[in-house]
Amino acid sequence: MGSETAGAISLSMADLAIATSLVLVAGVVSMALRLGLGRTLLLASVRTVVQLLLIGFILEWIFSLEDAIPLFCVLAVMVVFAGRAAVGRVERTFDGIFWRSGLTLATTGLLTAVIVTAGIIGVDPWYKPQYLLPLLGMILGNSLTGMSLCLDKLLEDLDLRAGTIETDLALGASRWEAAREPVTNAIRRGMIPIINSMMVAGIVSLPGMMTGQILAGANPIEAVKYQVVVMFMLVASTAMGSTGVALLTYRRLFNAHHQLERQAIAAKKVL
Amino acid sequence: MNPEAQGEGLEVRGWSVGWGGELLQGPLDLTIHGGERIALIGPSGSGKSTLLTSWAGLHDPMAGTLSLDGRTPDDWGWPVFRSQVHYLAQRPSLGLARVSDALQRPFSFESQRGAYDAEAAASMLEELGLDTGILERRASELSEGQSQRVAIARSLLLQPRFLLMDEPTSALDGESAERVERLIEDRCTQSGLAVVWVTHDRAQAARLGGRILSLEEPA
Repeated sequence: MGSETAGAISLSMADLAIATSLVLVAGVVSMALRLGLGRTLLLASVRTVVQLLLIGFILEWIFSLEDAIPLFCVLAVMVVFAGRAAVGRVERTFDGIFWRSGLTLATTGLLTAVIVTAGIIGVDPWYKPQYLLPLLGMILGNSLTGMSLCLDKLLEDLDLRAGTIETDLALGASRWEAAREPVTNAIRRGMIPIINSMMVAGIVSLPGMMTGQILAGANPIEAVKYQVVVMFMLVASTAMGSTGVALLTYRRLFNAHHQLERQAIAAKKVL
Repeated sequence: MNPEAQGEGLEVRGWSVGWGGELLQGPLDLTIHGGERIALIGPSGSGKSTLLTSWAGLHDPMAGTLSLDGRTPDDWGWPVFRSQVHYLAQRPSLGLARVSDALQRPFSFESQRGAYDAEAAASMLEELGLDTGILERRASELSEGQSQRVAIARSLLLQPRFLLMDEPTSALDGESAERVERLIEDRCTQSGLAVVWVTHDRAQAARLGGRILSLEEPA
């Protein structure tokens, strides 16, 4: 049994042992039905425990830091991984796609996170890791999905509709007049997931952060307030991220002579 | 020639084009004056389309200078330059909307000064042998021959000074092709339009009645 302290119920090792028996249920089902998932389940369970413990210790260490420099190193690593993930599954690529996505994530992500910690929650100092880190994590996670979809759509359109775009250019369109439709369509595509989750928030899904706060003993209305802030934060960062990366891509693929550099777009294998 | 006309027209000097560092044609010097008709012939792969698109400023040459009335595209502003020097592709793209939308769209570009004139559009389509009902059809439903003629009409409605046409009648029957030739000829003599016309048809090149520029196999 857990013991109640100030709202949240703290879990003992015995509680975790009981939770382990839940995995054993799945293991027994697997053996009974000969699903052959026994080893996989064991591996997955061990990984869950080890990975989460590891991040738990890392977070504990980061939260204890007084100095901002190691914290910003951690943030930089997060941005680099998110930047790589944002371009990883995009079906087409061009030279410099990675730094553009990383730069967009770093600026729009940090900007949004700082507005929330310093401006809305009022954390002092604004970079207090307990707040900045999880917020930035949520922002990057959502932004990279939006940017990924946005880039995929933009590069697909510029590649497949190059004939239409060059026709516009040939008839006197400026590069922006020729690119506006693909660019705005791509930004819209990037915004779809976050708008969908805002539409169904609370009806179809209870957002994870709110669930967590309620389990930790928070008043549901307080949890809702936080969740609203988070949702708005995510839609803002996704909008800025998609727009930023779409505009940087546009500047890269349309040169100063108002020409589409279609040979700069390369297809690639996506896993 | 009148010395005041020096620098008038479309002028290329030392023009070389190619792809990936491989020379296709050039260096080449050419001046095209208002009202002039030039037939450009040469074997497939000799760089006719590449020359045309590069003269329209749609991609840069390997070397050379390009000017219109003595001013470079940078001086004009590239969109404004291209609003006067049109490139017309062999397989033109009309977009996904209706034909009338395709005809109107370029008038929304900042570089275009004129306004769309529905009557002028209808009569031009008729001159090209197309029924005006085509205006309401989706551009994607047109045959290749219809698309070619709609694209010619779109360019002419915009009244460029130079029209660089890449086999504009390749999908047309003899009669329709001659309608196009007549219409273009009218424009050249009446409003000073200059055309460069890529063709494989030597008889057509002769019918155009202007200079014939023959390209050789690339080295």
